Amino acid sequence: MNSWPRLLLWITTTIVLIFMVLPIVIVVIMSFSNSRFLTFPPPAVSLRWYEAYFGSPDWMDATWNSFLLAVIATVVTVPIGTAAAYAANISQSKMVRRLQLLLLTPVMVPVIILAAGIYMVYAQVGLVATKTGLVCAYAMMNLPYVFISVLAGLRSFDMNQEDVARSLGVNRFTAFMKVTLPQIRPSVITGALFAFIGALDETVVSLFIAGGENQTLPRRMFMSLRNEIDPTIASISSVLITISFALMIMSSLRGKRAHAV
Amino acid sequence: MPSTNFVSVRVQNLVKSYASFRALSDVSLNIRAGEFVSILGPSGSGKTTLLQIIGGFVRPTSGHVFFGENDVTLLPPQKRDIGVVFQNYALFPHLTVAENIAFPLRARKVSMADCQKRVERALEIVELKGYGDRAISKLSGGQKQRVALARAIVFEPRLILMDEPLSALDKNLRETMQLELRNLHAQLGATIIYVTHDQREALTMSDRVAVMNAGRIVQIDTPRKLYTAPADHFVAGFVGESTLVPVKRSDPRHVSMGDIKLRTPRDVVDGELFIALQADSILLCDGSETESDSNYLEGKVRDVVFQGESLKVPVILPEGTEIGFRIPSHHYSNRTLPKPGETVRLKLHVEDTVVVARNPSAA
Repeated sequence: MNSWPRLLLWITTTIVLIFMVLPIVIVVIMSFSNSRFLTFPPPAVSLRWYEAYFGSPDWMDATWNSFLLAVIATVVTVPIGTAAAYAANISQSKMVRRLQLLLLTPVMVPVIILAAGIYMVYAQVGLVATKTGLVCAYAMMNLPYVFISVLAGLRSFDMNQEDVARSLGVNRFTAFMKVTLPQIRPSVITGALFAFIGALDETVVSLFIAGGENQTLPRRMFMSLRNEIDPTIASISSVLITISFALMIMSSLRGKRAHAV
Repeated sequence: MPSTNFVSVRVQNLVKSYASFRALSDVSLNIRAGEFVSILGPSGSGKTTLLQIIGGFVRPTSGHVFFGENDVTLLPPQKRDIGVVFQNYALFPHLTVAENIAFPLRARKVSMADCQKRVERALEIVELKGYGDRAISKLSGGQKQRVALARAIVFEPRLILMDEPLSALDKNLRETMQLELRNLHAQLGATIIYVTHDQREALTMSDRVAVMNAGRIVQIDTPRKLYTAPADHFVAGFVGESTLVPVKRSDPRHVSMGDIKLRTPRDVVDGELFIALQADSILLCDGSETESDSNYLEGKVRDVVFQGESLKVPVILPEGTEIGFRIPSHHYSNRTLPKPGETVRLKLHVEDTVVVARNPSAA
């Protein structure tokens, strides 16, 4: 009786999953190719493009630079986003509610517009192709993810606990650190992960404002795709995908453990 | 546990205004050291706002709060030394029972050894000895309540504030906890301010009850006085299970309700008057009975409703008002049980004939 809708559900689910995963699978397979060009399926298996990636000082520089920038950007974004979410959660003022919308603009404005805007501002103040400039841009663009994630965590948190903690003798900041933060940690970690991966992955804005010494990996990859089209970028993508997955799996395992206790 | 820390609390002309409405208007309250005072009122009457101002979580628009002789109006909660128990307990789920109770001691940098001793002691007082290592999620509602209580008393606070702490418990447990709270209050000599909308709870536990309505304290009195001498029609209607029926003053000691004349225990001042007919103080009686200290009424029984320990009987008075009275639901009263449609004679003791004036500022 119910088998038709069920079957339809299965088919839809399968199609969606394949659509999500297939590009990743193809990239990973291509990265093990021995061919000089990005071709699918690869004629034979080899690790030469991994050697090309890890052996190139140019690629390595861009990689370390990207990681460094992503880490700093995350360290900057998480406290600011968390503080903003905290304020948005407890405030009753209408002004704050409107400001909330402002915090979300980086995900609503087309990235290319954002990039052009940042470039024009940075050109005026001399921040183009600087670490400071890149960190600020990444922090700004990823703030919404931290904000939304932490706000969701705080919404389901009982703020009475903080009031009680204060009445028991600690100030507001300590109450937050000792009582609230340990309980909303999963949301903060999720927000941090999105901020980190977002910064690591950022391409469009980097195309405008990265460069010179401060080359980033995605920007270098984009250039390479335009000029060389060799499978090195497939191997780099595979490495990045692996790292992202590892981080996500680690955080979800943590979450599960925390639940089990 | 030494009880020397508990102080008197004085609230002076408190006003709290929000953009669109006034949560408190000119609230004053004096609480003696060691007194148990309940703040009773319907939701939205301002009782929680008052508690939050006394706790320091909210700043008043104007007015002052004193603990003993000290003005604490501008002091943040962490400097007030108050134990707070909320309705949902607000225990810290990421800490164990002992860690929860030790929290205020850690905040005060109490030494490890002393801290442990005092936690043990507090657990003993709330009868949870040996529960220190439990996770909060493994406790029942009543146990959580006790842990919250232990955490609120362990640091020898100056005052204990409770915001509907028992409302999440089921009825039997709630009644047990009410008695335990009373005992604890006597044992500690604590000054306790207790917010509730449950009048039975307030009447059971308190030395005095402050009835709030629309941001004001309408009356603060002993539980008995609230019953026998309500300040206005709001208190009379809120306390107990009463019906307010408009009456007219005929002479200082009599009011008339339609054609019925009722004697009052005290002189009545003229105005817009009501009689508060408590369901529990009205009794069925014979047609021939005439006692000098009784007032008599007649009415038509509309229904007889079984409500467990008692039967509720709604009665329509000759001039059309519906009142109610209760009959205990044991089988002795079955013999004389009225039937719907029957006319019955009722009596009310003169001392229970409570006449109140309308307070124009109350809803």
